Amino acid sequence: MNGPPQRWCMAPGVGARPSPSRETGRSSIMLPALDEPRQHANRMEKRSRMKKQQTRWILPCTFALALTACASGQGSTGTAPGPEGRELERLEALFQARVDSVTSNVSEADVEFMTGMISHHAQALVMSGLAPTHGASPQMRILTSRIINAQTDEIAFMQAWLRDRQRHVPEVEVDGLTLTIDGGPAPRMHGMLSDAQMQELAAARGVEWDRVFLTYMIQHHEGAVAMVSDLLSTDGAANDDVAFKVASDIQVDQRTEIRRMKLMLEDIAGRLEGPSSQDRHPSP
Amino acid sequence: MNDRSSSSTVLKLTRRLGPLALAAGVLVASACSSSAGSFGAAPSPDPRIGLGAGLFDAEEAIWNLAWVSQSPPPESFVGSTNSDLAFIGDYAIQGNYNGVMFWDISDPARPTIAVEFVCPASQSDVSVYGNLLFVSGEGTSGRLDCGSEGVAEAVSHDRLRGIRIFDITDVQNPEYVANVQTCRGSHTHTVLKHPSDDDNIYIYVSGSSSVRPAEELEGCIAAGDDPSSALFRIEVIRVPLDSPEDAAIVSSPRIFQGLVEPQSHGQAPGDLRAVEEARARGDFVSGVGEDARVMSGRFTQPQLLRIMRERGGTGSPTAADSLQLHAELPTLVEQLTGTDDDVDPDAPRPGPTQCHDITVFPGIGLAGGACGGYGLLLDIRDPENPVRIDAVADANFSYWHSATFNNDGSKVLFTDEWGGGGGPKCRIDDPREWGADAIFTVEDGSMVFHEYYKLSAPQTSLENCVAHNGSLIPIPGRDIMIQGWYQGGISLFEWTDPDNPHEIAFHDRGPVNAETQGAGGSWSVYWYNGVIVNSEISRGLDIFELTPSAHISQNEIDAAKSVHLDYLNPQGQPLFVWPSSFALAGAYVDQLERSGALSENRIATVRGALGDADGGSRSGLNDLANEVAGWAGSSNDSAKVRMLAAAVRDLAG
Repeated sequence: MNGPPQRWCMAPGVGARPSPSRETGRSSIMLPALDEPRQHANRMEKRSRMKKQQTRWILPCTFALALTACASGQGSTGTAPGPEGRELERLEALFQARVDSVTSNVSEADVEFMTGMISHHAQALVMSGLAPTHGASPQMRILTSRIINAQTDEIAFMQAWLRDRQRHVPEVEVDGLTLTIDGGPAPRMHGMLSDAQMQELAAARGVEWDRVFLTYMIQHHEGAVAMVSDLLSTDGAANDDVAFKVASDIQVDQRTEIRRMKLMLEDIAGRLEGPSSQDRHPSP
Repeated sequence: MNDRSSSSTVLKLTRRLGPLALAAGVLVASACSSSAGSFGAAPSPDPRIGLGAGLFDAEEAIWNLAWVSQSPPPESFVGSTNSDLAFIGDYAIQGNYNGVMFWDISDPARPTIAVEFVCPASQSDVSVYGNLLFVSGEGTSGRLDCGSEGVAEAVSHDRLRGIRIFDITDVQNPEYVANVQTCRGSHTHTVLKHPSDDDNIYIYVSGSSSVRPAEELEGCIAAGDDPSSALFRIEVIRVPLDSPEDAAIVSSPRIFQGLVEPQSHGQAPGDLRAVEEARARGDFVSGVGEDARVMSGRFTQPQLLRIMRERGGTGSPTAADSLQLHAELPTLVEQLTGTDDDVDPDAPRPGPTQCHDITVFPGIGLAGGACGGYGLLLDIRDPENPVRIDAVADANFSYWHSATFNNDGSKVLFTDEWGGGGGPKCRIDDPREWGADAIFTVEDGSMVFHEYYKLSAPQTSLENCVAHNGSLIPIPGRDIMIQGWYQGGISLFEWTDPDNPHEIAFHDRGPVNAETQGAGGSWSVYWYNGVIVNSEISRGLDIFELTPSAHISQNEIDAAKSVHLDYLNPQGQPLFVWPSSFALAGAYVDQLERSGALSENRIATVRGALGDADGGSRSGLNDLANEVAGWAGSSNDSAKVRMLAAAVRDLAG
């Protein structure tokens, strides 16, 4: 970044904002326990140095000027919000210690769930990625775009969850139809498509692609719903609030999407089969 | 414009300056910014872009709001998620995954913690009525005994998933009086006070998580095709006010019954374009308007051949055959799709399995249910038996999350919590229609879609951001609400014109963490008795106030502050009634001036007369009211002119 525009005042000691760097990532720093104030203090100094560098403009010059010009006699209308910096630093250290304590107390079932769900989600990306080249309808393009957006974010979130807990983070690579996890084939989780099913999807075009996609994505989503149910019926699992929320959100979202896809599938099936088909009742 | 003492100047602040400098900044904004030029335009470039990160010291941007206070969580709750808010008297009650806290906000500039009550459960959604406090438990680690050790076993009789009830007669010592366990726990809940029942209140429980095993809670059945399934229903708890320990589930209304197909209010723009292009090509399109669908050749080709053969033709169908098919299409499609009357009542229930949240509005007898893939309009005049009167679905909505009515119930706004609130859905390339609000008018019991509203400031991928909880602000004659967008901050916007929602104030902080997506942001933000109270997930409790601007005048703010509530559960929407005041009349005058619906002369006349009467003699106000009423016919906003006339007449006494 170049120097700030003239009309902004620089705060003392404030430099240009560095781009976020991996070296400063907090996962490399472990905070052991609450009762080690010295370490906390050191860390807080370090954090606050980091932040100072990130702070850019403080107040516009006009404000600083106005402050001298107008502040006298008006003191009662302003309100000082919140406590002093030192108290905030103490609370921030406590915050960090609590977060670290949560992330050091991990259930293996949760780790397995996150790891497996990353592979599961990754296959949904492969499937959805075919839409633009396989003649998907506009409605299907919306659905697949949303699946890609949602599941990409969820994969990143689950990877961060594992990283924060010092666990192995599966690396996902999608190359056309080929999905690799950590350089090898993806483990087959609940509801994931077989190679033959994936080939069938890749071979279909147009409305037939829509039909095959919906059929298999319903199967795929139902697998995710089952994975969550399995997790929640495992002793000791999902006591971590974040894990519970991730699992619940996946289940709720995918259940909702299953409903939507069944209606879409029915719509397509009706058209493909023609008017002789009177059975419009969706399956449960 | 009568009011130019705007604070629409943008502050980009950091707490590193310390409280004093911050106070001076706010002060200066209101005292000295009269030369700052245009007040109506949103600041450009948007100061919310590029804010520096920090937990308690993030950079901030604020527009048309002023800080009153910000209070970090008390020690017991630091590092644990703050959730929803309820209010009673001088208290703001803030839920937290670790329990509940009571903030005394009688001096909003200096909130103090009155009670820290540790009793872990997610999400700790809170409501209050009289001397009773209700708290939702959904997660698997909530314990009946409020212990913090969690529940290790998948099946356990120590687990609480449902509603906890506390007696808070002595606020300092909440007494745990009852639990009502439910099959899916309580993600959120809604307290319904029926206007004609003073002996009971009702709680609608929305539980979206997994069904508990029957070994843990008797009668819980997960199978969707079982007639007693815990899916496809909500729970209604009746709480006798004399004996809250007798609270129990009294009904499980299946409000989704027969909800077979979405009444899609809106096709995606791409779909509509495809229909128009197909029409232009002369392709077959079934249905009209929003229901239009391009018919597949696999359907139309056999039909064309049939028509050709029926007239004895051979070879290729002709243009006449096409015309014939165009004519027959509606009948053929109806045969194909059937109608709602054809639904087999014994068929497996296909609708959503749960609601996320239900907002009841007893003042108009309606509720808005945000339920899976649908937004529902419910008749709640019989509290134990809510009846669905309309449903909408939308290809752009992922997950219907919550509802807010405007004050006369002529509009309802639904939110889409796309991604469940954990995802960064406000990035620059995230579609504006996704994870947004959808605004509907309510016309003869039907909801009609108008427009989406989404936070306009793009956020980073470090900030979870999607439409979340908010409430109306009682500015008379306008629909204005404040809404939380997680780490997107809070946004105050107007939706009086349902086709043109627009932002008029905001506050935002930089990300909680500069390296990774941390937990934080506005879970919910509500107006309560003159202030705006924000539950910040990690940073605590924020209180703001409105500052006058081109968008909101001092009179409108004063009129909003004149509405007093004894308590507020935002999911139990109160009907605002404005007491007579000069601010109320002045607010209408300001609005008529802003819209140009009264001439400058008339504005000056009525403003002058009101000014003379305020603190002086009110003897002329009846004549003024009559004069104003006479202007209604020639104004392009005659309804507002009549509201002004009524407000002036009320002042006359």
